[in-house]
Amino acid sequence: MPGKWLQKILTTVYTLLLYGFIFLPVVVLVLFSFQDSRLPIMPFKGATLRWYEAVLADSRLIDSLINSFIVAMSSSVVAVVLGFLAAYALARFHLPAKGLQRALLTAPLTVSYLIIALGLLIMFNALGVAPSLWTVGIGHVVINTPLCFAIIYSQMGDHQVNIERAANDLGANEWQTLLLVTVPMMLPSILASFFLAVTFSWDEFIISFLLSRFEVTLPVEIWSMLRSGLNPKTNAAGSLVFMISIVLLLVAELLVFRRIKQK
Amino acid sequence: MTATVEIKQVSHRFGDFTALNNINLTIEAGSFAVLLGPSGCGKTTLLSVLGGFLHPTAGSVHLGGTDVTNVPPAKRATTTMFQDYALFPHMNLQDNVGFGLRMQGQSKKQRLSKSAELLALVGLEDSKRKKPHELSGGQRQRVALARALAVNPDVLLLDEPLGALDLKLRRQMQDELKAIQRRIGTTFIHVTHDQEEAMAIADKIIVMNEGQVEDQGTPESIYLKPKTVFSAAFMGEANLLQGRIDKFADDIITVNTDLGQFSLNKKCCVNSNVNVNDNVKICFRPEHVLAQDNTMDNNVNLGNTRVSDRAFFGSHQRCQLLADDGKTYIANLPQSQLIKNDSVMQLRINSESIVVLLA
Repeated sequence: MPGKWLQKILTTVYTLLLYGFIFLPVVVLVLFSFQDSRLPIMPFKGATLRWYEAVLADSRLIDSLINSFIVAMSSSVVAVVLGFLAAYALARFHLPAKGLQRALLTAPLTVSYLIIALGLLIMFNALGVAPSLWTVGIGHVVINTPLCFAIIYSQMGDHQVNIERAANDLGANEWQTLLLVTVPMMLPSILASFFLAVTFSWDEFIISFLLSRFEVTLPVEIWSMLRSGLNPKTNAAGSLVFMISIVLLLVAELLVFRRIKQK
Repeated sequence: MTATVEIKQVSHRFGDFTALNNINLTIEAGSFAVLLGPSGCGKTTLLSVLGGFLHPTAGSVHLGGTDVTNVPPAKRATTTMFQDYALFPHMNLQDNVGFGLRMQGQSKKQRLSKSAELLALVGLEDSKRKKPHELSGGQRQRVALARALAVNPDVLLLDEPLGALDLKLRRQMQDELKAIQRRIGTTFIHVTHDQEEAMAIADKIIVMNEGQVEDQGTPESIYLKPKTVFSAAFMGEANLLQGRIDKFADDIITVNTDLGQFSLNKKCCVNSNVNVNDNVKICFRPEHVLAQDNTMDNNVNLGNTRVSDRAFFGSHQRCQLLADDGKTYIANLPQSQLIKNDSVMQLRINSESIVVLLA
């Protein structure tokens, strides 16, 4: 019996340590965003919302937040459309060098964002394209398309082929089949990949940093705030980003993963 | 609506593999035809060719006299009921059933009334707002049938539709399919590997093997007068005795077999081109073995056998009889006959029911 108790205690301690390791930094960040002092360091001197007020009053921060939102939404839509079409093509048609094409499509997942960002920077320079939100968006499409492809492709099975055939058999042309049957049928994985792409784009730093100039995204703006030293306002900005990610995650959970579980 | 289906010299190859080898077939309008054969015999390939999902390597398909070989599935007057039902998972039943009508550009009102009518035909009128995942296998089956029939096809193609159902439900669905086919008169072409299912529903059975048509005809003719050894063995149980034609005389043929020589009426030869010295198989069904007290004159006696095993099957007893040639023959004998294991009994067969097939 004592062995069993020991086992229970050890697993509990291990679990607590694990979650502490993952979430403690975030908890500290959020806690000190309420710090009633000029420095986000121990000891905690009482709660205030003035740093949040300062964040919302900072037009550069708000502008960068809007920029991040635009880039995340538009690059994710493009990445999902491209990823879906690539998955559809590879899952449904006989293509030359299928394995190679699949490998090429997913390969960017293994390349570091720094390398991708450098490559894009050099290429845009050579083409004479100035850094802007557009180039950041293109960068995010590059990193998120493989992800969307991989998620959607993994959910495209042979059992759906007959469903598409049935639609075709009942008089639907290729576009009708795609829009009325395939897309709605794949909606859970399409939405899942979209939300994942949005969160990845939302807090991506290195590509946004290297490929933007005057208009920047939120992580880049936070980074430039950090250069002037630690400040609870930075914590407040970081906490806002974190909260938006949480909201996105909840929406994804409610919209997508519940539906997948139902099936 | 209904149409005659003609398949003319259709062959299909997948790479080096010949899936269909020169198939010629006519299926009358309004009949219920069954393509029967073991897996890999080409029956599903043939159905795909009929549905337009596969373009045959050679040959042509005609519906109601029109060549449709190059007509895509969407434009063909056939609909397919798929083995896995292939219902649209994101649509409720009435939208599933109404999908084909929507593609034809019919109004929502027309679609709803037609899908209600068809859901009523298959007994699911109360579930029209349910999604497919809320249904049982048998119900999904019915929705697939209603959806396929909604567009008034001339020919309905059914790809092993009952394969996933349990035995009792399968029997029930067979009866329903047949009743619905009688009512609407559409030509049904049904694929199965289950010979009992084929006999239960078919007007015409087409036995296929290795990409070829082995035999075709009514269930009775295929069971009682199979044209090939494969057809005989696939369609129910058959005892096969090795033999050789000894001589032909008028209406009588004489065969030498491993169990002795005997004579049969020429009608027993279903192949007209049998010659003296041809190797043949003498085929007889287990129920054609005569009971010991049967005094019918017209019988062939294959000598004494030893009962190596017997089992009681309710309507009959199934006995394994070990004959002199070292082979075991199956006999279904009446319940009333007293049979003991290891007892000796004569193997006598009603000679009119024997079929002589080229080996």
